Amino acid sequence: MRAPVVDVQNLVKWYGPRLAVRDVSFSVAEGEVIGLLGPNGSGKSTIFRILTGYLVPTTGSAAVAGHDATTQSLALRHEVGYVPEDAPLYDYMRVNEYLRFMAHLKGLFGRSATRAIGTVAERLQLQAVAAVPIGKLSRGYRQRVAIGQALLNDPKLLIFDEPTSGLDPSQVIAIRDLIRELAGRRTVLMASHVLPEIEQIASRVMILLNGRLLTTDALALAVDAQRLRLQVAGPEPMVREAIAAVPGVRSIVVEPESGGPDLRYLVEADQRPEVAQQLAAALVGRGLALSELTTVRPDLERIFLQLTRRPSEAAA
Amino acid sequence: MSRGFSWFFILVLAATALVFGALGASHHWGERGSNLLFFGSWCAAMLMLFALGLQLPLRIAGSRARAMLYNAALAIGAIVVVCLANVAMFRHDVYLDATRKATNTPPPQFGSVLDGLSSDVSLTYFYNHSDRNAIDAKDLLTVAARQNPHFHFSAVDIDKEPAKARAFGARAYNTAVVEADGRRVVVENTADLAQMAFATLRVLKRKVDVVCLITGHGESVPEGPPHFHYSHVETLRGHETPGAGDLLQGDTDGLDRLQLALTTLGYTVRAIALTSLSAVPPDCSVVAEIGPRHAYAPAEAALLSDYLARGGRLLAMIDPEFPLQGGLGDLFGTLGLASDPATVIDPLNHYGSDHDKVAVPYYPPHSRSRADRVRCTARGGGAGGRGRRALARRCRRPDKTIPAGLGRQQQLRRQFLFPVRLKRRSRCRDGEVVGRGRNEASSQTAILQPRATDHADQRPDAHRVHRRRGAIAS
Amino acid sequence: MRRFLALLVKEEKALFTSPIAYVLIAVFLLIMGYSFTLALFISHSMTLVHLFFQIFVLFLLTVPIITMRLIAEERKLRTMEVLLTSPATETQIVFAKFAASMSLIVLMLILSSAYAIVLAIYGDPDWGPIFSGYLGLVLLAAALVGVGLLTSALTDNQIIAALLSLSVFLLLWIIDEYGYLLPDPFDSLLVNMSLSVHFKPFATGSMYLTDVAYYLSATMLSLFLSVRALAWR
Repeated sequence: MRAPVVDVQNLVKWYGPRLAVRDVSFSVAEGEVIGLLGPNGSGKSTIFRILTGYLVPTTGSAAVAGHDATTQSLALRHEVGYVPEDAPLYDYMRVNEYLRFMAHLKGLFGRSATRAIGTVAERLQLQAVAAVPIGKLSRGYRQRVAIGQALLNDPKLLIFDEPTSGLDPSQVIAIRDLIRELAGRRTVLMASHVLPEIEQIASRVMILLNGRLLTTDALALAVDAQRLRLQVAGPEPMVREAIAAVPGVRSIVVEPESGGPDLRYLVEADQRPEVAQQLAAALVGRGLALSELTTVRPDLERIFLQLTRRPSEAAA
Repeated sequence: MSRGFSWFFILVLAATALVFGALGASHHWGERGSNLLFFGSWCAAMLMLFALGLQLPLRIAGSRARAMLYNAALAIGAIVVVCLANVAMFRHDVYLDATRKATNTPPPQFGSVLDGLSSDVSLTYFYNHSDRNAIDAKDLLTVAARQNPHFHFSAVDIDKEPAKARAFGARAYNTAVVEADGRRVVVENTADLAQMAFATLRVLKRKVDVVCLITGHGESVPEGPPHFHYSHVETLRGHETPGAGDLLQGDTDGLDRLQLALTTLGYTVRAIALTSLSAVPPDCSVVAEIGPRHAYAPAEAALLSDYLARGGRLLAMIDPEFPLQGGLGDLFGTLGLASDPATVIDPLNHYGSDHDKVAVPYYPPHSRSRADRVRCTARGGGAGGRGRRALARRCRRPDKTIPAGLGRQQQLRRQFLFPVRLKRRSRCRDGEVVGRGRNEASSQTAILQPRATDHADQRPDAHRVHRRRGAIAS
Repeated sequence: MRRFLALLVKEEKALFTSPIAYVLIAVFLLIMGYSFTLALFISHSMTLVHLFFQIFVLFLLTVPIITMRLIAEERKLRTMEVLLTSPATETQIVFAKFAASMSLIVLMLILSSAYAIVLAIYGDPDWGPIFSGYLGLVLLAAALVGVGLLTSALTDNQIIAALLSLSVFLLLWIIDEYGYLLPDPFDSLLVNMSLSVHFKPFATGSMYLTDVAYYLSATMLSLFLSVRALAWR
């Protein structure tokens, strides 16, 4: 089994009298896309700053690609591409100047720097703004430039801290697609407090609250139940009766936006594959027209709310 | 810079510091050269410590308090190292005067006085801050104080601290108060460091030395303080011109000037007439016979001879127009000295067109005395060969004053005020000071003027010297 | 070394793309030109001594302005986080900022050498004190920039950084004036901490190696502490 790219053990970080990170442990395997979810002040940025070598832990350990964050900070920084929140950049530099400067800092000089800058500029579509001072760029382009500097030396681990913060919807979509694309062969750690964003990008979601890691895989918590969406034509009481008769059904909710003769029902049932068939058979058997039967992904929002109401629960 | 290269750089610096330090400590290069080498060593050592400090871990794991303690300890340690390094540098300071004419270097008179200090002297200068000369003097004194650990200087702006000036007894601008060992000398209205040097010599004198000038043989010894005369302003309007009747202090020249110089140096000058004495007064540190024109009576010569036999010191300045004769001639004859009638001429410095009307436009060193070869020695007693070799080294250097004496036992101390020029060929030999001219057969007077130091409690053993070698000793 | 050079180029760009550098140079030359002309017409002396003392005072006032933004601004804008999460070390960052600031000051001094050239054209100045004066100014500037960098590293507020460094400079300027009030050896300790006491000999053509050592050690100490202050987070 290959060593994890990120290995955090019993991480604790005090900021003076405030405990920012409480005994956090997790690991990230190569190629994973991890979403770190939590409200403001939950410790996401602190964990990232430790993983990028900017801070040292009070106790515990953190390692990236085998380099310890306390004793091998310089080597660790070669392995990480970090995009801080709000993309801090040097407004007086042009885009190409800035990328060249960051390439030099990451140990790329001469032709290798030119090659890396060209690749990144092409990937992020920065050619058009290469000679523009960064201070004159839009927020979307600034974010691209910030991502670009993180990619220059092709690092093992990419860390994004609130990458879509402050962007307009089209920019959000663009960045989200970009991150999804980048995640192909790299390991990505992304922090956000926007649930849908995490849902769409991450393969695994960790939830932080008040410095404590509530779960390292929130999506796996919903395995004991499944959710099915059905669109059925017919009187609602009849449909409810038919659905409720199927063993394993836990709840039936009519989706608010549905209307007209066909209503959409959200059914929560036991995690058994035959439930869907049984539901279809029950509805058709009563002469009700079933036009849609789909499985719905676990509701992260619900999981989040569930966990954060009971902060003592933490999954291994 | 890779870590390996950093350590290599640190090692190179450490080696450089050690090499320079060792070279500086070897004292082959003189004090100045050694201090320059020490400075090189200091720079290399500081750079090495700096590089080492940067290699220390910047952050340590653990609580913030622990990290704070760690950083505080490093900061305090760094400050302590820097302070100690600066203190070390003070002990090996080197002064470089970058001006073309060395205007920032105190005059040689002042420098030589300070170089000879072996006890603390403090000089407080109450200066006028609007007087450029006073400020320059203050700056030079500051330079001098930095180079001499025994010389303590403080400058007081008399307008800002009048109370302090009163406490010191300074009533005029530009007053220098020199103190040593509870004694005090005040020089008013001066910005001349030479005057301050003389004041320093005066304050260091523990006992008053008396220079007895012999009179009664036509010597032009001044009877009292420098004389006054009325001014005489010659104009077409004659004596009615304002200032014509003013009393002026006459310019000092001749023996007036010598007397003034001796009193400046702290000597008391007294005229003695041998005819009226039964013995040369015992408080005469030096007896000077300057320009006798008449012969000595035998009794006078006998007094002088007794005085010399008791270990007295005689300075004789004989005008060859009035050569040695009578009792004095006989006395000097026993010492192997004689003078033939002659006329001193100076084709370069004379009045009018008469070469024999010699003028002395400046004082030491005169070209005549520069031509003399003076052998200088001191007796090395307990110090033995090492002391003699050290003395020999010093004697070879021109303009170097002769050391005050070596060894624990009998010491022959030679005191010089102004450096006597020595030719490089001069050799040092124990036991005597001789003056010898170009012509070995003729005798020559070597003017060796005493230096006022605090070693006056040990008297030179001139008695043995002059009896053995027939030397003129001071 | 190449990383250091990259940081240095970036710092030079930051300095010279901002109007602060040009305004500082202009004000410096204006004041020095006026002072030089006035002193020359009054004293008719072929020296730059009074000019050096004026530059001494001007440096005490302007170096805080040059150094206040060095680290405090980057901390505020959070670009320091980008730098310190890259393979650049704190030492390289501090040295690059120090070198860039010194380059501005050396440029100002080179421009002021026009006065020495004027003296050389119209007279025969004594070059020894001129060279020693410039050496003293460079050493002084190095120490001032080091301390300014340290105060900038201690805070993320530029104004506080400037005020701190200005206070330190003014204190060290006048500290010897009151040395006589204290007993020995504290009086000589205070006197030897003074910036002006160690600078005066350079301006007049005297050079003491202890003065050189004072400025060099102050520079090294402040740079060492700056690195540690930057690493403190």
